[in-house]
Amino acid sequence: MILFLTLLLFVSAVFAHHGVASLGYGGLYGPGSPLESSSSLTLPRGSFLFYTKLDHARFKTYRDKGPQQTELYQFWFFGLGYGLRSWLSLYLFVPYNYKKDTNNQFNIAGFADPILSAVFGFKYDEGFRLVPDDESLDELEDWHFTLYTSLSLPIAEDSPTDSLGNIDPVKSLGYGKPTLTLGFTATKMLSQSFTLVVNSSYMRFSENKYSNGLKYKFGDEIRGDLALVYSLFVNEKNKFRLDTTLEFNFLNIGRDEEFGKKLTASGGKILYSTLGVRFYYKQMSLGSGVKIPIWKELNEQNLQQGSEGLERYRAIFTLSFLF
Amino acid sequence: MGIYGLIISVVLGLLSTALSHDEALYSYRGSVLLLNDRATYRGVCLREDGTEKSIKDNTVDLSVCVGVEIYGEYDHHRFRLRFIKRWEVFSFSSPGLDVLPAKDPFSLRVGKKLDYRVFLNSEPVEGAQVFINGRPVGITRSGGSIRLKLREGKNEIVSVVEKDGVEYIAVLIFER
Repeated sequence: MILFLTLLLFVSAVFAHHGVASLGYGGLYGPGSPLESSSSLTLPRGSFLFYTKLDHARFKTYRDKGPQQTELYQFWFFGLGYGLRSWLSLYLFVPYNYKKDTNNQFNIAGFADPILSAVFGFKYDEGFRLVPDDESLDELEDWHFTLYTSLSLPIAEDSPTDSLGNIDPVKSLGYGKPTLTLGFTATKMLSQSFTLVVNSSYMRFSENKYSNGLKYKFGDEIRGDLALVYSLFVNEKNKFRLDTTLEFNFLNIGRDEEFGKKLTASGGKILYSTLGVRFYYKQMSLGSGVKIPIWKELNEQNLQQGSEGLERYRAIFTLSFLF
Repeated sequence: MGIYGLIISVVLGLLSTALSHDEALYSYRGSVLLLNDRATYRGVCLREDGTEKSIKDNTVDLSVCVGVEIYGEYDHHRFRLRFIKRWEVFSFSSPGLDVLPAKDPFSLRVGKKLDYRVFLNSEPVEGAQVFINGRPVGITRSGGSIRLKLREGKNEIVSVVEKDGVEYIAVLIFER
């Protein structure tokens, strides 16, 4: 999965899979799923996935930056997926955001733009082919790939105001216009214990005209993730599995634009590292981890308090059920 | 011996008893196949010279057979066991549960994948459990098929289906 500081980031987070829990041998012994990076698992044909995730981001604050600084973001995702085919999964995600400032002058909470997404899965097994039904463990060891796309539905509040009537696009729950994401994943079981996952995505925002006349466009995002999942323990009898995950998540954010002009104090490059565990029990998967920026090159770092790359940490929790 | 030692001894004793209660359908001693004493069975060993020998006791010396086919049952189990050294000795249709390779497994390189199909009384079975060399590897999809890698050495493919209170077991063994 993927996320972000402003609304921008979290939308792509939605696509990160999912750690599909499964009673089958594939769930116990098949490829593992990272917490942030999208893996190449598609849903079994005819099955549903209920998915929820919390991305809890706490930001660094500074004595010289004034009383109103971004302190905390919480991005919740609630999703329902359906395996239309073994190679085509459809999802509906409903995000819920909470954003808190240090002086509580412009806190906001509410549902954000819902997101529709489609994941197309294919693999390489002596040639490229669609992901078949009920793959054996031997088949799950093949290279698997997905192409995914998503579109947000701009129905959430895009022009919330503080007590003085000011609008800050970063505080909006919705973007006002659809956002489009295109992505690609590759997954390979390197051994019976190790799974490699690679993910890349591009997210494009459209300019939105806010209720005060402001025309604002968030900078586009490019993401690249590399993840390694290690299966620590499997108990076949009790349908239990425990994985640990190590990820490197790169994010390139373009500059925001106001009335078509690129803004300072926006955009940059960040490399995160995410360390986590994922626990499977029967049809359930529970994951938790910590994501921290390990390298960053923000465009104007001194002016970007509350931006991606300036978090103290991001704590991630996921829970999903397959039925 | 303290109380903890006594508890450990009792637990280990119970565990040992449980493990020694051998319910395996068959086992090996070198190249000799040992069938479970509780089973009744009939079978045939095809020799290199083309002659056949009926299998009447519960030990089969696989080294003298290029193909073996055994049918048997015990309690609520029905099983078929095939051992082949050559593709030509393979017979394809008979009642009961069957696991069949889609093509000659001796014609493919080790590491390549081979489709197998599982049939019960000649009807393909979806959802049959399949194991290879004792490890679960999945279930058959529609059409009764499953796709598995050819292993170096022994390839022991076991399929299990339960129907009407009877557990059917099909075993196919060959070496690469």
